[in-house]
Amino acid sequence: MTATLDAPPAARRRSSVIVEQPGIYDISNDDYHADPVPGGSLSSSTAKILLPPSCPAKFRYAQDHPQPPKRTFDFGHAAHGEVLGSGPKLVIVDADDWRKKAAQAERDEAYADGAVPLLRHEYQQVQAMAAAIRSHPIASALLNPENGDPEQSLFWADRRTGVQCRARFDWLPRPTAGRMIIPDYKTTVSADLDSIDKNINTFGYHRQAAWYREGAITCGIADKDATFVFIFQEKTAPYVVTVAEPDPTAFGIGRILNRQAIDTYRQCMKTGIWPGYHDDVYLSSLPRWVESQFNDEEIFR
Amino acid sequence: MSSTALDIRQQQAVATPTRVGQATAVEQSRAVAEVQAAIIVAQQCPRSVQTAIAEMRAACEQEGLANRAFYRFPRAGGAVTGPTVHLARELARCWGNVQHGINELRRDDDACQSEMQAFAWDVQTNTRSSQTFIVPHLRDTTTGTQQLVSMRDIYENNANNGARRVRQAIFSILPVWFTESAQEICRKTLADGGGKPLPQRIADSISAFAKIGIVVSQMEDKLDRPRDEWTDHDVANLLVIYTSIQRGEVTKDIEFPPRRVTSDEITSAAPTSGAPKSWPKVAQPAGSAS
Repeated sequence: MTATLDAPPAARRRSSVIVEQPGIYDISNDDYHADPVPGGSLSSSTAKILLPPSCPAKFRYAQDHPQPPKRTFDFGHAAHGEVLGSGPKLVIVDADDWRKKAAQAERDEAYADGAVPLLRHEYQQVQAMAAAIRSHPIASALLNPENGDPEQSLFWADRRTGVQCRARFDWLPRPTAGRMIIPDYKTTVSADLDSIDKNINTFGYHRQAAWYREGAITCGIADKDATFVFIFQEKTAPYVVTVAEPDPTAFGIGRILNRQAIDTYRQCMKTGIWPGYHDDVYLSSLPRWVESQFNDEEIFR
Repeated sequence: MSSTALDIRQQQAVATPTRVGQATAVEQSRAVAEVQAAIIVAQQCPRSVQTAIAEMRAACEQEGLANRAFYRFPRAGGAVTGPTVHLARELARCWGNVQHGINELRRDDDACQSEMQAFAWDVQTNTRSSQTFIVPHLRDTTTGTQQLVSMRDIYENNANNGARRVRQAIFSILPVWFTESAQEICRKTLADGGGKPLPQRIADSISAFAKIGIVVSQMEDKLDRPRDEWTDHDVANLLVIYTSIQRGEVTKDIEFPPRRVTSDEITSAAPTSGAPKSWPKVAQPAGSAS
């Protein structure tokens, strides 16, 4: 499948602000996600959709068809809000679940107001998570309100291609005498070390780390010593926290993949062609082990 | 043992020359004559081991050779170092009556591979080491293997793969004491740094590394001691690392990993008096609230 479209993938949701200059912007989450850059910009999460196992055609579709809010995202947004001290307005619904019509009505009303609906027990859970972060020595230092600002958006032009890029920092540290350490908060099922290694790869967090670091450097607020850490927190009690830094190899791979995504984006924008997985006739091979098994069976027949 | 379906297909794919051209025929005769002549000449003019040692010593005392005598590349979390093909070739010259080289026996564009042979031959003692190997026309990249199409890429890839085998072949026919002694002299030459005083060489290496973005603290972390305590051996090691980075055998991030984030660094990172009060103006365009 190849999507051929002449118009740039302008955001289909309207942003109430327009960003035409690079820098740090304190704008709402909705405005950021609606892409306030005229002509479109690339974020770390959308850049991931351009490369395998996805493809540019899927990227273009996602741009044209923004996904409706999902319940799992609500919990994540609420946790971010409580932990970072900024975020969407929460509406607490006194119900055990969303099965009753009254609860559903309250939920829909909250969505209509641009708020995030949470069940009472979910709200308590989110508050307990925020308390666990505040009592964690490293996480609380990283997210100390005296040393940084939550939910800041950065916009910049890629130095090599001029492609407009954006990133929304969970937390933007204020200037210090030391190097910049950019934290990012992630809720997860398990914050054990093996799961962290696996999740960084599965969800492309190393690409996000390299993307944000590049953004901070290009905007002139960090030097090349800047680094990035993830604050992983489990969603179930006792809400264990692990702070992790991607190693230099992970950063290196993230940088290369980001570069490929930016180059692909520029090419697609230039030609108006958003290719699928393969635009010629794909020559499919059997897995190596099938060939070996076939050979072995032939030999001993 | 019966042939498998895949074996048969591969056998059929092999093309054989249908005729031998005049140039090839001449080359075949010339090669036979050259081999015979080489052996006869070697017997008539045998090497003097003392002369070979003196030549090797003179060569290894040259900074130009010593600088290129060792390679270094990352493997399994550590670094592998060893003598380079440049040193091997020079030692073969000093030892004398040694032939060595790489031949591309066959190039198969359909299978995307070259059949190669690397050899080293002591024509005086008729000691020969050769290795025939397949070089796929592929290059490893961080996103998987990439097929090589251009003639130049294929040539470079074959030459790189061949150089490693020819190095191995030369070292396997030269006496171990000869090659070990040569490496020792090269290390000493690197450590001496052409007679420059040690503080000068330390300053030179710091300034060379600075040009590729490595700062003194990273070098001190690497050697695990402050610059005032660096030895001749440390500077020689730094030189090998520098040359390997320049040659692309190893990346600077692997040799000098960026400083790891520690809990101490995070908990003590509060804004200090030395820090700028706000972000630079360029990062705060008009209308942004930050």
